[in-house]
Amino acid sequence: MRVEGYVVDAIPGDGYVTLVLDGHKAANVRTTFPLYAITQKPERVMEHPDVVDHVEEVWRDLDGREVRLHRFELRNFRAYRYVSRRVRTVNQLPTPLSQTLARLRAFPFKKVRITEGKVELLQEDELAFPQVKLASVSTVDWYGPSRWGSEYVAVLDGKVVRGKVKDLKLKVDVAECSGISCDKIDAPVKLRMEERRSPVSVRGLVEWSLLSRTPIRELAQATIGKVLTTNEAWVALSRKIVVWDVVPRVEKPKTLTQLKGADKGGLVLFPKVGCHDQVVQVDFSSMYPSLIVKYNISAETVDACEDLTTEIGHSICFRERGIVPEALSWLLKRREALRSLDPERAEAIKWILVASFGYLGYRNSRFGRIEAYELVTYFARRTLRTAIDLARELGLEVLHGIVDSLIVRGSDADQFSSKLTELTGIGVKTEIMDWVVLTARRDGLPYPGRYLGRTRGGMKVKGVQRSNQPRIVQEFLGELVELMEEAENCSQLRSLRGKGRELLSKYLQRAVSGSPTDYVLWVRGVPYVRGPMGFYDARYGYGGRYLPYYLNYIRRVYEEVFGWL
Amino acid sequence: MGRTQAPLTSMVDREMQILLRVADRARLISLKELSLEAIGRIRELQNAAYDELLDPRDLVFLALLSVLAERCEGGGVRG
Repeated sequence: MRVEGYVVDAIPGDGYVTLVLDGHKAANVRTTFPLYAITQKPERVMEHPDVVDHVEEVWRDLDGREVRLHRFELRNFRAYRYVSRRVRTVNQLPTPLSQTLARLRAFPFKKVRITEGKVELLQEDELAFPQVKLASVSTVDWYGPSRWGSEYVAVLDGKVVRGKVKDLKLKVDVAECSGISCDKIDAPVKLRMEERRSPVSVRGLVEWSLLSRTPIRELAQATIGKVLTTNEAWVALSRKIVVWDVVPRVEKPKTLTQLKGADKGGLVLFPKVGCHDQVVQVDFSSMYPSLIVKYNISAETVDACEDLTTEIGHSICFRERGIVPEALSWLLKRREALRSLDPERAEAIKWILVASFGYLGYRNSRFGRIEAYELVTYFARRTLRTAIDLARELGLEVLHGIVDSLIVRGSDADQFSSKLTELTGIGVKTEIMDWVVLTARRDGLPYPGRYLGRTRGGMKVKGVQRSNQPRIVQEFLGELVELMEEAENCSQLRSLRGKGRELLSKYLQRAVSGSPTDYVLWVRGVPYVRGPMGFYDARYGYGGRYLPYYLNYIRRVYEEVFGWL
Repeated sequence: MGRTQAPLTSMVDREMQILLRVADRARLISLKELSLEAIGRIRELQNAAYDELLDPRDLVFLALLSVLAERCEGGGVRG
């Protein structure tokens, strides 16, 4: 028997794994499952009837110390669960199923040919998206997405389809679904939206599955951290470095002064409040991951030797490439290549890169360390300060700066970006803005987290629109921003004040006589309405709204956006 | 912005509020006026001092000193 297709799922069996391919095809492939353990009595484990083989191997820990591991080969996952509860099991990431698939060269979403139980990996373009059928179906109620909704909204190959759930009939390879719509879909892999913990779409999840070589089913409820750590764990595994389940890493002692110097975030400049014409925004591309790669920042390279010493008391060793930089450099290259080809997948990789820095400082991170985290922010502050100094040297006026981005005004902006890349070794992206509004707090002091600007590609808005605002407020802000886009410069923007006021009164009126959906706001996946007695859960029905709350909200956001006038 | 330290901006604001309260209670109108002027430039000093080892209180004093220094130019304060 011979089948060919993309690996969509893998189901472990007894002495075999069932590979589910696209188009609802499947084939069994004989295999055992590896389990790595530290034990003095491997013969006791071998007594289990489903443990078929055992090899002693020499591995290393992150500090370079030798660790003797026993690799057991098991017939099924039942045995895996039994043994792993009784002996100290390591290398559980990448997941045992992913490791099994990697040995078979049946990587998730890669094209394979299976002939008589033998898997052959078929070569394809590294960046090509697998030809699998994907669907995203959510059920909706009056307040928005709801697992109990009787209507559905489906996205199939980029097309949006709506209808009654009872009429839904769908056959795909991977479906992301909610509520009872899941029962109406015929797919080998169904991912429940309610259980999802990641911010990416189903297409993004396929990309995560591809790059972490982990079946999508195992990522359905995973956080970004799991995908990131899996990528790092693959690097560790290839170097025979043990991946522990718990890493007992203790922060090195510091004096209060040292702590004050090291424990800081990125550099944030307070903006020059007001509207500014003809400015340029200069962004470092993936600044934190790029710094991690450039300075070889990883748990095992920090304070290992003194190849590079810093003012905050930590040093970096360049003798061996760190696990984290190696894992990230590949992701950075892939994201760069996908950016123009497939923005949705590039966005999914961006999420991993964004999490990579935070994970260095996370206490349960397997490849992180607080000193590594502090080094990243130290280099980020230094890099932005270098950029500010260079801008001033070139006669540019620095209007604003947040961690990895600067807004400058002046004629030498092009020269600035090329010199900056040369000086820092990090890619820089520039965007011309016809105008930018930098806002203040209510007390008049500058507020760095909010700005609005008109670029050639449309409006760029930061810190104004949030996902937890009531729908009416979101729509008001959307229209307000659209109105502002009409202005070509600050003086035209000022002349829009009258139209802005008109829009404000239109929405104040709508707040008085709006439909129930206007008042819904979402907090952590739950729809709420502000009623006279406080917020209530909209899923139990609409029970009125507290008008002053909505009126004040609309007035407040108007002041935030137009207040500088 | 760090793991353990309080946010610098809110600490600077708190120090400025303490100064204003003290000036109010002591009825030192000149100190209050000086403090209000210092508040106007404190963010600029924060921008310049973010990567240095300075306390929020140091920043407040620097802002006050900078206002005073400007007033001293040309002997303005002596009179």
